[in-house]
Amino acid sequence: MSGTRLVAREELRDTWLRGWAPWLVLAITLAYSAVAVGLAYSNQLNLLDAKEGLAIVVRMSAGVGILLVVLIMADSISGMRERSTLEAVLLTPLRHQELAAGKLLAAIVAWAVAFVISVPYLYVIGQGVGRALIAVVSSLAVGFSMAVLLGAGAGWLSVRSRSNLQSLGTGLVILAILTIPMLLPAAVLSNPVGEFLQRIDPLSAANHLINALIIDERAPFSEIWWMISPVAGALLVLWLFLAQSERIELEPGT
Amino acid sequence: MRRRALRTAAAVSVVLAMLSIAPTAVADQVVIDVSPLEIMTEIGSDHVLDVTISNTGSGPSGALIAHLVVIDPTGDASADAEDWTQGLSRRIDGLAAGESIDIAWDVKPIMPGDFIALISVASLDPTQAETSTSAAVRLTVSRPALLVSGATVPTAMAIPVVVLLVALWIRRREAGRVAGLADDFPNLNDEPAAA
Repeated sequence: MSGTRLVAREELRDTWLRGWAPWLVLAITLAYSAVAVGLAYSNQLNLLDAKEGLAIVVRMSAGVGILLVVLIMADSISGMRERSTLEAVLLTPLRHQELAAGKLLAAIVAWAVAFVISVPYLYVIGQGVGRALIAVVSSLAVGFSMAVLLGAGAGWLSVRSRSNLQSLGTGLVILAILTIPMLLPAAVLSNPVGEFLQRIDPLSAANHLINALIIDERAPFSEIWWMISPVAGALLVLWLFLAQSERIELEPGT
Repeated sequence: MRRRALRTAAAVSVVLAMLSIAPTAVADQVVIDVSPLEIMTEIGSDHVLDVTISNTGSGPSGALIAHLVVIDPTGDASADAEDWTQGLSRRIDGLAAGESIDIAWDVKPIMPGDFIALISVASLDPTQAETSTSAAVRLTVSRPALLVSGATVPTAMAIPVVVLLVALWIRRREAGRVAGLADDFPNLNDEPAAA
């Protein structure tokens, strides 16, 4: 068995058999159910409301999984430093990149579980407005690319941080910065500078894509360009994380 | 006398020629036909309004803009036409005398009620203030039985129960495995002997 698979297997056991993940997934399903029941019992629901409700479930489906990946990866190396378990692992013949890749693989499984659980909700809510398939596919594409991007980013911070507080804090600040273009008024986003900001910011691009496909009912191939920054960002940050992981030390920067 | 008559005829013909080149007034010369004029439908159903815009005047129309207007006669709700169609306005570069253009205008009602849809055409020439408007299309929009699938509530109830059962099964299985380890290694949790 490769080192990556070995690490991933142990991480999955820690998270899913001995950890909090199943209970967190239960909480996530309750949140999905609350939104779904709320939509089903809305007497005044119009088509736009129903499509916006579906877009919210798509964002939840991608976002909750991404948040799980970020939390797991922010803890990945800095957490081991805090718990004093990193030294023992560094003394094994395991390559540092295998350790990093195994942890990321296990974290991505958390996103996959959150996604799989959301599929029935996306299907039943999307069926009413005729966007079920597009909702599932857009959640899969956006969620996976963003999970790799933000998971690898959180892992990169974790490699360079002394504590979880440092890696999580820095990660949340970066996440807050990435949400800024989404908060800009429509008039700003429609000018070339605003559109450029939206296109290069992976979070804003993903949000725009979901709105275009679900609410505006645009054809998927006309909007495919909005996936460039999430996919390119994911590849770039993944490469940075794996390159950085070669220098995992007992203390960062030593 | 004859020369004067010729001059008058020439002046009149020049004016007529100029009039035939100048864009004609939209309100008088542009005719908009739309069909169907009655639509009974439900929220989310796709429909197409077949719109024909004709220039019945003797001169070119100049650039025009056609716009879909949706009116809620009760005034109870705001009928934002941009939510009803993919293209709220269509630009027409110009129609020669006698020319017409066909537009298939997609319409998808988003809310229930009785509505009136119109196609309004205005000239892009700033000197022309008049507009031309089509006949009213009456839309009666009903709410579909299920805008959100009927399976939504059962799904929302069933999935948390399934996840809870799986979580309990995982916990029980892991507890059994740990208990098995404790049986196999009875001294596992003993404090190491002091050196």
